[in-house]
Amino acid sequence: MMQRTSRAQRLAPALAASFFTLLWIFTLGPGLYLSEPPKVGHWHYVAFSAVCHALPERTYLFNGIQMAVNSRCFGIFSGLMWGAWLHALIPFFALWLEKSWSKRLAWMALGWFTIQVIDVAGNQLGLWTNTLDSRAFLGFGFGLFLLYSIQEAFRLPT
Amino acid sequence: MSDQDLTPSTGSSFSVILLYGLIFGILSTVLQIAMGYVQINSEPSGSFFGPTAIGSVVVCFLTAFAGFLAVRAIVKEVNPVMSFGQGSLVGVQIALVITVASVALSQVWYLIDPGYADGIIESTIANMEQMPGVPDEAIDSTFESLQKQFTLAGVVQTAAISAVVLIIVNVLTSLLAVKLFAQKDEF
Repeated sequence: MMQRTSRAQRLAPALAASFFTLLWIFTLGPGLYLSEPPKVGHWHYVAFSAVCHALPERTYLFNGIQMAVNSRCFGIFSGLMWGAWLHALIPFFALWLEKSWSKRLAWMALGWFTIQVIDVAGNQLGLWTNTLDSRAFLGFGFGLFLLYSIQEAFRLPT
Repeated sequence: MSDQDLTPSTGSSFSVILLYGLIFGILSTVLQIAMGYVQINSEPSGSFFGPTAIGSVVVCFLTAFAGFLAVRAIVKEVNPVMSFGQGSLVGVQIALVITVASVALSQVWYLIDPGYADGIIESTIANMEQMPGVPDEAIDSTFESLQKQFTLAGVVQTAAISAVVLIIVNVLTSLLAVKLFAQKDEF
């Protein structure tokens, strides 16, 4: 029983990482299985429409077809996936972070989100011009910190 | 920390979720409809980054962080103790309330102004016609897809599909709020 519990505890972060990987695969869009761009309102774009505008000018292509989310959101979902795998594969690092940085990580995630808002505002006001890669990079940082700050939620209680 | 501080108040978590869900659902829908009117009344620019797109940027920030703000309100007003499991449930519930409120309000608006959907479709098509290199077939298929999207079945289908990701994102932001504001509890 003891052994079964510890196996389940080890599996839980890996399951969470697999879930975020699946979500990340979905963000790649219909280029995963189509050779021609689909019609407007394709389910792949609709699925993410409530949380991401996915404007063509601000979105990467995958296999020549627009992804399901824009570059910033792609960065966020990538950060979540990599964070989840780092958590699952290097658990001692996750535990050390949690013990020494617990709440600070969550504030850093929130801080990183504020940077996104500043980046969007600065670009809109013409103070600077962000690129697909810069948006993806900023998004990645937010996703990574977000995942690390809530990693406890993906572990079974001991 | 005294025992009194940990005692839940008589307020209900669900009433907070309902309130925040309705506020964010109504706010995001009103913003989208308002930006729709701006698009209808403006000249086609030939760019995807029109008024509705700017509205979408604000709407996606609003809807993604509804769970975060709801958890913060519950922790402050109802019960300072919240587990990650309870926080996740708040994220799920608020995403569902936002979805239902948005569908209901948009349907009511299509009844109040039956010309709204046609206006959006016409302005989108006019905008596409200004874009260089867009084939006629693509414009025709966009026209058909948009017409389907504005029917009741289309709106419900869109809401049901997008609710899945909205739930996931709100669960994540709710968990962040639990970490920041709630006192620890067992799962």
